[in-house]
Amino acid sequence: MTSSRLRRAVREPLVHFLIIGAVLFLGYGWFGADERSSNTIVIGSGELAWMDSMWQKQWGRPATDAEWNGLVEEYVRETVFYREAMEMGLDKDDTIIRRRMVQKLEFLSQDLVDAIEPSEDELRAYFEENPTKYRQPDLMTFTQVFVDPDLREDQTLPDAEIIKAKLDALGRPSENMGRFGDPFMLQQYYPQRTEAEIAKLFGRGFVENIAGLSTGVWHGPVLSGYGVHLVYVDERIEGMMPEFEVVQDRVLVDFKDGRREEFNEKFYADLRARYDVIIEAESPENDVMASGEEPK
Amino acid sequence: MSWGRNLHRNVFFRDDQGPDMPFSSVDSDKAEDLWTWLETQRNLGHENFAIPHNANVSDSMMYANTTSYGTPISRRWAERRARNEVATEILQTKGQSDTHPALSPNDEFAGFELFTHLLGTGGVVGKIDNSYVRKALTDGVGFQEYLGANPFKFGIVAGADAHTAFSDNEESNYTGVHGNTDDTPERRLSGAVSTAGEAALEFGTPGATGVWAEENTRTSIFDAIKRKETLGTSGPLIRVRFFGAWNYSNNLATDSDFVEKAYAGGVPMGGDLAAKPNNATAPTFVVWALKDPESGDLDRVQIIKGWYQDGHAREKVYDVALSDNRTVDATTGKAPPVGNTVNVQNATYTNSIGDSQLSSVWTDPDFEASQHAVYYVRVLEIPTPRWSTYDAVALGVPIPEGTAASIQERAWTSPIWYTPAPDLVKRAPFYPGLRQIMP
Repeated sequence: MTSSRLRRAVREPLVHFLIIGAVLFLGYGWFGADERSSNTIVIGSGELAWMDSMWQKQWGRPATDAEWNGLVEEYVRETVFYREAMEMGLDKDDTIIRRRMVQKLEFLSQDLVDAIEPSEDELRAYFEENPTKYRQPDLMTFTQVFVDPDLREDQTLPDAEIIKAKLDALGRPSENMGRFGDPFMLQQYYPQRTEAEIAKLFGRGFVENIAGLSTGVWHGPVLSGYGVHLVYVDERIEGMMPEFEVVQDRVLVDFKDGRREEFNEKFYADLRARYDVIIEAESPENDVMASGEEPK
Repeated sequence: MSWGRNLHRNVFFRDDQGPDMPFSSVDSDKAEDLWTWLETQRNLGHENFAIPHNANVSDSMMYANTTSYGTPISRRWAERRARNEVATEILQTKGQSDTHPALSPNDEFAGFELFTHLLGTGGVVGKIDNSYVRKALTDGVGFQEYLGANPFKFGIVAGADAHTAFSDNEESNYTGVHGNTDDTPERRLSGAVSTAGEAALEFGTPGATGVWAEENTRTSIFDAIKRKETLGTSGPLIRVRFFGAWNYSNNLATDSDFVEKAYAGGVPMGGDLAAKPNNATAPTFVVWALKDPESGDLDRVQIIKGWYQDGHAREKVYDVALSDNRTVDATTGKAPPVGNTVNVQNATYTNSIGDSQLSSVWTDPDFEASQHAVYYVRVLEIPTPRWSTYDAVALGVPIPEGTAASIQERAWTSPIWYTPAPDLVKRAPFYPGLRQIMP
C-alpha cells in the first residue's frame, strides 16, 4: 500500500512541481551564495603591496595615511565600476578594448624576441649588409649669388649673364661677395652642408640643380624657389663609411627592430593559419561622400 | 585639461637630464602650482620654461585676466607668469590662436584655420575672449600700465600636436595627425565626427617654429626661445627678421650688412625698445621676410600693433610691405588682394603672383609716447590649396561644403614692446578691458 501510494504520488503533477520547485530553490540558494561572493571585493596583501610599490615608484616615498586611504578607496571604486561594466558586457565590440588586448598580446610576443641578445658577429654581418643605413651623407661647400626676379623682372636672365661674367673674371669667391647680386636673407657661403640641409635652405629643386655641377667654376643661372642663383662649388666630400665600433649601438637597435618585425610577421602568420575567415559581404566602396550626400 | 578646456603647457628643460618626475594635472590643475614646481626645478639646476598650448580651445581661460582662483592679478603674479611662460603657441593642428574674427573685426585675414570647440565635448563651442594671443599681448601691455608688470610678455612659437610622429607640415603632403582616424584621404574627407565632436576636416597641417639661435644645439635653441627670438608659422618654413629701434636708416632693409646693423642699432624680436630718446618721435621697425622655397610666394608683410587707451584694448593691422608693387589705398586703408592662382580641379597654383622676399623699414604713424604698446609681424603667403583640396583631387570628388579650397599660409614673429618712461605714463581710472579698477 505504501509502495502503491508512493507510485501514485510519483505520477502526481503537483509532486513534480514541488520537486522542481525545491531544486530551483536550492539552486537559487547556491547561485545566490555565489552572487554574494562576487559582490565581495577582497584587497589582499598582494594588491596592497602592488599599490605601495606603484606609489613609491612615482613619488619616491611611502604614502601618508590620507593618501593611502585615498589610494585604497580609488582602487575599490575602480573595481566596482570595472565589475559592473563587465556585468553589463561593455567590453564587447569596443574598438579601444580590442586594440588594447591586441597590444597586450603584441607586447608579450615582442618581449620574447627582445630577450635574445644578438652576437657581435650577427651585428657585424648586418652592418656589412646594410651600408646605406650608416654611410655618412655627402658634404658640399658652395657660394651662391642671388639675382632677384621680383626686382629685375624681364632683365633677370640678361642681368644674371652680366653678373656671371664679372664672377668668371673673379674666379674663386673672396670675402665681401655682397657687392654681387641682390639683397638676400640667406648666406652666400655655405661650408660643408648635406643635401638635406641645402634642401631646407634653398628647396629640393635647387639641390637637384647643383648636384652635377663641376667644382672650381661659376655656374648659372641655377633656379630655386626664390629665383636665380650663380653658384660656385668649392668641393664635394663623399660620405665616409664609419667604423663598426662607432655605430655599434645603432646597429644593435636596427638589428633588433628588423628581427622584431620578422618575428611579428611570422607570429601573426602562424596564428592566422589556424583560422578560417569567412567574409560574408563586399566591403563598402571607398567612395567619399561630399557633405550633404546620403551614405549609400 | 578640465572639462574640455585645454590648459596644457609644454615644459622644456635646458639640460638633457630633467627632473625625476614630471608635473601633471593629477598634481594640480592650477597653473600657479606648475610655476612653483618650475621654480623649484630651476633652483635644483634644471633650467626650464613652459609654453601654453592650444589656447584657442581654452574656453577663455588660457590668458584670463584673473588668476586660476578667479582673483585679480597682482604684480607678483604677473612677474611669475612672464618668467615661467616665455613663449606661447600661436598655431597647431587644432587651429590658430592668433585671433578670432569676433575679436578682430577689422582684420580681413582673421578667419584662418579656426578650431573653436572644446575637446571631447561633442562640439561645444568655447568662449573666445581670453583664448587668443593678440588680445593677450594687448591685455599684457594694459597690465604693464595698470600694474607695472606684464603677465603676457611671451614670444611666439607654433606647434604640431600631431599624434603620429610625422612632421607633415606641407598641405600637399598631409597624412593626418591622429593615426587611423585620419590617415587616408577617404577618412579625412568623410565628414565623420568622432564621439568627441572632432571632424578630421577641421584639423590643419602642423605648424613650424623658427628660432634665431647662434647654433643648432639644444642649449643655444633653448636660450633663443627664452629671449623670444622666435617665430611661428602655419607650416611653411618662412624666415622672418624683425627689429625695432628709434633711429634705423630708411635703406637698412636693402643694406648688405642688414643683420649686423639691425642688431647694433636696436633690438630683435622678443626685445624691449630702449628708452625713447628726447629727439625721437616714433619707433622704427625693420622687417625682412623670405618665402619657403617649396611653398607659395609672399603676399604681404603686416605689423600688428596692440595698445591700451583710456583703459580699453586697441589693435591695428598695418600693411608694411606688399608684393607686385601694390600700394595701400589712401581712402580705404586697405591693400588690393594679391589674387588667387589656385586651380581647384588640379590642386595647383603658380608663383606668378607674390614675391620671394619682402622687406620694409616702417615708422609707427600713430605713436603716442604715453601709451604702452606691443608690435608683432604677420607675413602672408599667396593663396595655395588647402590639404583637403589635394585630397579631393586625389579622390576625384568635390571639396566638402564649408571647407576653404585655398588658404593663405602665414608666419607670426615674437613681439617687440614699448614701455613709456615712468614720467610719461598716464594711467586710466578704470580698465574695463581688464575688468580691473584702480585700487
